Amino acid sequence: MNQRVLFILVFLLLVFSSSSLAEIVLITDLENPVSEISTLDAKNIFLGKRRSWADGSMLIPVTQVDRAATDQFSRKYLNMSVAQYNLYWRQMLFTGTGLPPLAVADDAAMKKMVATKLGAIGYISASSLDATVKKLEIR
Amino acid sequence: MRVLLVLLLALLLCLIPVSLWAVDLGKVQVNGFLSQGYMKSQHNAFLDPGSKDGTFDINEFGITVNAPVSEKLRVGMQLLSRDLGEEGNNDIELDWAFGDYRFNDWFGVRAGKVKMPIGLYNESRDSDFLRAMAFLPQSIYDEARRSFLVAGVGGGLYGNVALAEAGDFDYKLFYGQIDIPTDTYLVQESIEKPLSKHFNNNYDITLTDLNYHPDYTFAGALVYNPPLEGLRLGFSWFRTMGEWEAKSYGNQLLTIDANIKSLFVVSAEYICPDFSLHVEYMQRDNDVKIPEGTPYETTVSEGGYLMATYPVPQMEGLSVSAMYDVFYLDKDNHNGSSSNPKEIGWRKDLAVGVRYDFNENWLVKAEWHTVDGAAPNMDFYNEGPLDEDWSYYIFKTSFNF
Repeated sequence: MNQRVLFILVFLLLVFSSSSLAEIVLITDLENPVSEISTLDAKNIFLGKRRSWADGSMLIPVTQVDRAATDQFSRKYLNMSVAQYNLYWRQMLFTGTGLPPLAVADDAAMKKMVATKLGAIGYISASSLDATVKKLEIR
Repeated sequence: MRVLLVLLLALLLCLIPVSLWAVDLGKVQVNGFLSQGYMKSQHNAFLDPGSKDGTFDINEFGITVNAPVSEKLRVGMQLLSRDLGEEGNNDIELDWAFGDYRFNDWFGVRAGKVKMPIGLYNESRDSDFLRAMAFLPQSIYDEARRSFLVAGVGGGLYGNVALAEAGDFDYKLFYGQIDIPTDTYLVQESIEKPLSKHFNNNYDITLTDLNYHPDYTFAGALVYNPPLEGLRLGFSWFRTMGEWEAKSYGNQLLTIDANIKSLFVVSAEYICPDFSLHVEYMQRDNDVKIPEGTPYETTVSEGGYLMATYPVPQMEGLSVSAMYDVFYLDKDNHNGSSSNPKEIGWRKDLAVGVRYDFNENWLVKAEWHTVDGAAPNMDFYNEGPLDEDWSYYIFKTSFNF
């Protein structure tokens, strides 16, 4: 009996943890030939270490002001809380070593920004995904 | 009076909505910060001769301007006003100012006044809100020697090199000069006192004037970011050379070499949403030659620390930290028998602290340190005999926009 309960608890934990991690997806503009990136690439892009796509064109990371969305994103792709992620960029800003990415209000603003800015990359919840932007698969 | 003004300004800034402060002049970003602390020490004075009575002389103001000129060129500067005991006195100084041209991800150049990449945190040492405790660990980021280590005028290279599945590494190189201002407390305290008091020798000379002529400074840092998210491993090396031109009574001119011949720091940091761990170790070779023509006296100091920070999940914004920080003036002599007084030969600082972030712009900190030993340089702040066992606590608040 106890083993069953334990199994169910572990299962629920795995289901909920994986479903919560799956809610955020990376997006780019429709004209971008890139369709998939690695988690490491995503990390380096949003930490300002990688600034161009493979073809040399300019990479424009975009973040959300929405704290919950950014927290989900940063935990999934950067292994940081939103507070740690913001602190990282403040350190870059106040030492002159980097400027934080553009930030937009929410999913709707993110889709609008990414759809109109060539080379942009951002994140939205999977439920907000539509045909105006392209989902980037994680390899 | 200045302290009162600082406190009033801090209160005013905390009351005004943050949105009114953020300044975005087109592509130019203007940001800033201020902090104010209160420190009280028991048994020994620390960083401020008046700290045993309690001191408000701990504050920093900074205004930072960043402006992208083109896709690859960026310029920026930071003005800093700080007070720490007898240091700074809220004079406004240029903290850093440089142009940055990034050719690609793995190669960029910077020129101007640049912060030194010593350890993982020297470049951000003046921004209180970037760290868990009021001061960075003193074994490596010694506040008394800040002017010797913080920034130099020159140029450097930097970049991030991808290593495919093995992660990537960041590198930084700097070559230039660090000009040590003569109003630094350690310099001022070296005047009108026998040299033997501070240089642990028998020179029967009392200086009346002291000026620094920098020769060159080199700094290099390598930080490896392995595939394990949140882990950083670093190595940095620093050297600064120059001459002190001194005058003693009777206007006798004297040249003193007092250089950091080699300073290396090995660093590791692990940050994840649930906690962060920081550990660093350093060795510093100090060369002193008084006067010219005599052999160098070399002292190799060592130190390091372990710090852990835990964000309390039940209360967003609250984090607790613990730190153990150790420094030995002479790495081959940990009991102080080669130092005079012997208490300046070591220092072991055990600290606990809490930090509460009301929001992303405003925070408060409180911490308590219990310390064994009085290194480095605490004889400069204390006239009488030093106590081996002492303690201090700090309250500090910071605001940034």
